[in-house]
Amino acid sequence: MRRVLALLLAAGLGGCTDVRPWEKQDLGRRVMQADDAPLETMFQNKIYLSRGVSGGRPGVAAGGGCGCSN
Amino acid sequence: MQQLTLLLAALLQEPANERPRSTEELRPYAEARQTIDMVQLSLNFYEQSDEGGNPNVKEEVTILQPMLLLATKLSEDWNASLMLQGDAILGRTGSGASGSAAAGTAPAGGAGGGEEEEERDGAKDGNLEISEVQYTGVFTVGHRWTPYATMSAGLSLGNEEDYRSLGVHTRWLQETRDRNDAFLLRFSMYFDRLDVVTFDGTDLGEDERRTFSPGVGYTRVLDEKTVLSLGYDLTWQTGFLSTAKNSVVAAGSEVPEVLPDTRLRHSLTLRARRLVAEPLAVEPEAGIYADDWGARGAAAAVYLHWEAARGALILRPGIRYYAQTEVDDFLDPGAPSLPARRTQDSDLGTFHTRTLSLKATFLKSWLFGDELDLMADMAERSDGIRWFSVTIGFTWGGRE
Repeated sequence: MRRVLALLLAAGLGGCTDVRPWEKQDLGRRVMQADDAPLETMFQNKIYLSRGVSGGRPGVAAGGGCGCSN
Repeated sequence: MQQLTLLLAALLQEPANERPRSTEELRPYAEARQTIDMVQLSLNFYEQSDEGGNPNVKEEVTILQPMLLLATKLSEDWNASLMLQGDAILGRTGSGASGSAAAGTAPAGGAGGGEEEEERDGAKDGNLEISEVQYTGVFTVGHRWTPYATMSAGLSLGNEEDYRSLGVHTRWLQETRDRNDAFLLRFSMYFDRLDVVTFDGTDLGEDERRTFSPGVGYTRVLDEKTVLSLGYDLTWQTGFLSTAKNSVVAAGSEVPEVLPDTRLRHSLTLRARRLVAEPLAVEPEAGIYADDWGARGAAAAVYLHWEAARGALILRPGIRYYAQTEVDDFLDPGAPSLPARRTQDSDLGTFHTRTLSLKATFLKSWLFGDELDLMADMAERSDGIRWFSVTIGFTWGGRE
């Protein structure tokens, strides 16, 4: 699994180019913007945390802050 | 007339390399929204049915969870936010079922065999009532040091029936001058105190749990339509890490759960988002997890972000698959002996989960606020646990 992730990362970064500011119009579109609703994301992440050992999304560290069993 | 038609067609056509209309569009795939005034109210509902999992524990749970987020821009470079959350955990009269998946403690208690079946049947006929209320508050202050660097720090407080938590968190986001790369450092600590009351009501006094979690993130604009994000989190925990109310049934007796008092956890996630057509983006995601208790996990998900009605409605259907292996101390029900360390918590067992989700964002709310979010999740675990959740969210402000 680690090798697969490393290959994916290398392939992704190797193929990228520097994008100019005026070429980022598509990245500014609403469907490309992250975390539109932080509360709903928090709620969903908490469910994932509580119903398994892993957080599963970036920035979601497992454990601490509540009496979750895992 | 023909000239007028040509002129109208030219006006309606968007040039491919048009300069963005605002600086907001220059930002890469990072959180821009927290820096402007916003109020968000979210009402969450979670229902879990118990048709498997741990046969010795009632795992049926219903939770109502209101959440409120207030975010404001204090000045050009400072912002603050306050998140308040309450969890009303509902149980049925006489069932004794309580616990929180989305909020906290795992449900526990109960005996095995026929009595358990009778209790479960009775629980289905009882009346729903609030068995526990939990509160959480998170306060965060953010500061923009330079046009490319922001830092935030804050405090969190949590209060549950047998559990109190104090946390601090901080994060640093550094973007490159061309805003094609963003580096993130984050760190959180929790100092938690809990009352150790076992499944049979025995009070063993207070204990503590400490959590330290550093993490790093990297976001890269790959091309005009694609962004890639990578995140890694390390979590170190010490103290009382068992769930006090969990019991283990084996070798003809029922005893408390006992787990190690330290735990080291690693979590790595990779995701990307690509605009594949004018109103449609696809977001694949993959993650792996490992800890020194012996558990391993892997998740894969795909979400679509589709602007179904321009300027009015965004739909986000998604599917997620998650699998994990049990911790080394997991004990099968019916084991012939009781080892010193043991658990039968089904969340620490081996299973896989399929989750379907759908979220609809109405960019002009037809109820309250400026925007309206509706979200539903439905999940089925291979050990028989099922749950679904529904969220309705209202947003005021938040966009320039």
